[in-house]
This record gives sequence, structure tokens and C-alpha cells, in this order.
Amino acid sequence: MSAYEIMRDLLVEKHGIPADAVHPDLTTSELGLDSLTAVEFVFDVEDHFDIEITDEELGTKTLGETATLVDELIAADGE
Amino acid sequence: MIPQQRRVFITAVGAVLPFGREPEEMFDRIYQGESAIRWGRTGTEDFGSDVLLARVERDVDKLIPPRQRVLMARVSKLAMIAAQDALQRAGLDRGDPCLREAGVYMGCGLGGTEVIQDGFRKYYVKKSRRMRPTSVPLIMVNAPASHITMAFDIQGPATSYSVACSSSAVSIGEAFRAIRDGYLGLALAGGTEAMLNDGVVASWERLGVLATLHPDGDKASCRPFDEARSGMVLGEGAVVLLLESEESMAARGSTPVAEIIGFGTSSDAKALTEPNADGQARAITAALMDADVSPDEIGYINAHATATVTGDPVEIQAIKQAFGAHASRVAISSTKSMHGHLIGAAGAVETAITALSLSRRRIPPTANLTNPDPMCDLDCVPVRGRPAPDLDVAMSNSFAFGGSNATLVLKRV
Repeated sequence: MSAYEIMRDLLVEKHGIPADAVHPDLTTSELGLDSLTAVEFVFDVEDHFDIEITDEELGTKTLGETATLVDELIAADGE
Repeated sequence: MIPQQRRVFITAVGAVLPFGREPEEMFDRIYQGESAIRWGRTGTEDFGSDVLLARVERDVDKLIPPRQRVLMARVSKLAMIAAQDALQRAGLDRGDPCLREAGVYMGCGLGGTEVIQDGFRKYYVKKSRRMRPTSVPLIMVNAPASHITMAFDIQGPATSYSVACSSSAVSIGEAFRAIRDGYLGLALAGGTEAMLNDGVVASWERLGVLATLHPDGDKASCRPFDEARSGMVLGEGAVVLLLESEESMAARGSTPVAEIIGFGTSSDAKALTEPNADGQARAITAALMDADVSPDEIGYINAHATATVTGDPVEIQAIKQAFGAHASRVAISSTKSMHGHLIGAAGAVETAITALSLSRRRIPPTANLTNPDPMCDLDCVPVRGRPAPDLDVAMSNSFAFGGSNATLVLKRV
């Protein structure tokens, strides 16, 4: 599964967001996650891929942009 | 000005326990002497403990909407289910004006223990300083009460009491006082505990107070007042009671389960874990005075008795001191023999059982009491529950590590 698909499933299964509401162009805030829930979500993503995303890297990225960042971090980790 | 005191009633019981779903079903099973205690393993196959536990077997995650539970440790999830259950029974839901003005009083011993354990495992074993960012709000002992306020838009006081094994007797007692003294018309009061993780259980094991497996099996292993008792059994769960003033009850048309008429507390001021009969007797006497009843009016005591070698005879001694000549006539039982010791939720479970005992006029037994310890020579209702057609007033004792004692007195309605 791609990073985006993992993130989508996490939002659906853990956070109860309807699957058809999740879209790569949306941010977690636009999906209704409050700030504390959003950091919980990012932590789960980090934990899943065993990577670290800094606050500067994360910024206010959309899900699609975050997935791209995750892919880059995984690739960098493998080098 | 001291306002006129108001009467306080328990009008609904919500529970999530090692027993079945309904509080009434729980009472029936306890009355029949059925034990929820099982031999099981904590941790992993290659590293864990084999111990006696009374676990909640329901899939708690399924009972709470994902958006609510995402920031909840297990202790908050259990509390939430019990609160949902109590409110549903009372016909109250989010948005009800009397709920908005209500209070939440919860007891809890240790908080989100599995979150602490998982975090420390990551820190020390994986050598990662990147702890779960939500660790602190998940672990904190007042999280269960806060989640209940948010889920049901309860805007009155939300207070949490961490008094070890007396936590929820104190939370119910303080809610009782707040309603009696006119500060509130309605409160959710109870306790929650979820500490059956390998690290916490291993700590309890090292304290040397846990029961060992009895030759007759796991269900026979918790034996309060019995000569062969070997210790307590840890349980988990939550109970939330809806408490209402007489005025609130009349306005809403609710039906009472029982009335709370007295609450007494004391401190041993002696030792951290060793119980003390004088301190316990002071709490019992204070509760009797608060309730304005004499010892001979009490027909049943739901004892704290955890089945430790040291603890049970001390409580018997305390009852003798406080009750005098009536001590030999009052029925006493320890239902921990069946539901285990729920620590921060113990007082709430046992208050619920005491309330149902009054409304049903049935006294639950002390399971496994086949050979009473001569040091426990009072009527400890061995093995079989009994009908009590004249039962009108009953007592629930909770005596905590730290020497903090709390006793509640309840009356049949």
C-alpha cells in the first residue's frame, strides 16, 4: 500500500472519517481533526513508517503532500 | 447561610464489568455466587505473568464513536461506556438542560496505565525520545471525567478523586454532599480503573498481596474471611451512578434505586499499606452519625475485605469496634470474591451492589467462604446469598492504601 493509502485507512479506521470524505487535497484540519488529534495522527504515521517528521516539514501540508513527504523520508532512510 | 439539606437518590446505574452487560444481571450473578475471576496471562507469551484477573471481555472500542475514543486510554473508554449506560437508562442525553448544569465526580487510582507502559517501552527499549504527543492527556487521572463532560455537554464541576481503593467511595460521597448541600441537582458519580497490563500487574505481584491459584481452580481462588485466603484478585471496569436530589427526581419523574443517607471518612495516619482497625472504625462511625442511624439499623455491610491475610481480620475488628453488640447480628459479605478488586472503581461497584441489594432485599454472599478464619468470626454470609425481607439500611466500606477510609450508608426507598 502507498503512504497515502495507509494514511487514508488510518483516518477511516481510527478517526472515523468517512472513506469518501478523505481526499489528497485536504488537510487534517479540513477533515475536522482538532490540533491534538492531528498530532496523534502524524505520530501514528511516523510510528508506522518508522520515520520522523519535523513540525517545519509538516507545516500545513495536505494529505497528498504529506504522503509525498513520507515517501521521501522513507527513501532517504533507505539510502 | 447553610441551606436546608436535600435528600439524594441513586436513580440509574451504568456499568462495564467482568460480568454481563446489565447491572441487574451482574447483581443476579453475584447473588448466585458466580465468579468472574479467571487465570490468564498478561504481556506476551515469552515474557509476562500468569495471574488471576477479572477482566472486562467486551470489545470496548466498538461501544464508543471513533472520534471520541481516539484520545482515550482504556480507563476513559470504560468510564465513557458506564456513563453512556447510566444516562441511557435515565433517559437523559446531550442537550438536556439539567444535564448541562450537572457535575461529574469520578474515582480512579492510576489513570491511563497502558499509555505509560507503551511510552516507556518506546523510550527505553526502542531508545526513542519521540513519545506519543498525546501521552500526558491520555494518562492523566482526570481524563475520564473530562471525556464524560465533553461527550454529554456537562458544564458543572468535573472532579476526580485518586484515593487508591477508596477513590470511588469518595467520589460518590463528595457528589452526595454537593447535592445534599444544594450545589447541584444532578451528578454522575462513580469510578473507573484499567490497570491489567503486564508492568502494573508485575508490580502488584511484587507487593505480595495477590491471590495464588487455589487447588479447586481460578474461581475458587479469591476467598475473603476464609482460612485458606491467599490474597486479592485485580479486576477492571467502571461504574457510574446517576445521583439526583429529590426535587430533580420529582421534576424528571425518575425512579430511585436507593437513597444515599450518609458518608464518613477518616485517615489511619499510621502506615502506607497496613490497615488499621481504629481508623476504619472512625470512618464507619462517622458515616453512621452522618446518616443519623444507629448500628442496629444496618442490616448489611458490603465489606472492603480484599481477601488478604492481613486485611480481612482488621475490618472485622473495625466493625466490632464501631457496631458493638450489633456486630454479631449484621450480615457482612465481600463481593470482591467474585468481581475482584477494581481499585479506583471498587467503591462504585460495591455501592451499586449495595443499592441493588436494598432494592431487591437480597444479600449477596461471600463466595468460597467454606472454612471461616476464627479471626473473622462474624456473619460473613458464606457461599450462598440470602433473602432479607426486612433489609432497609446498608453500608459499603472502602479502605485504601495510604490509610484513607470511606464508608457510605444507603437506604431502601
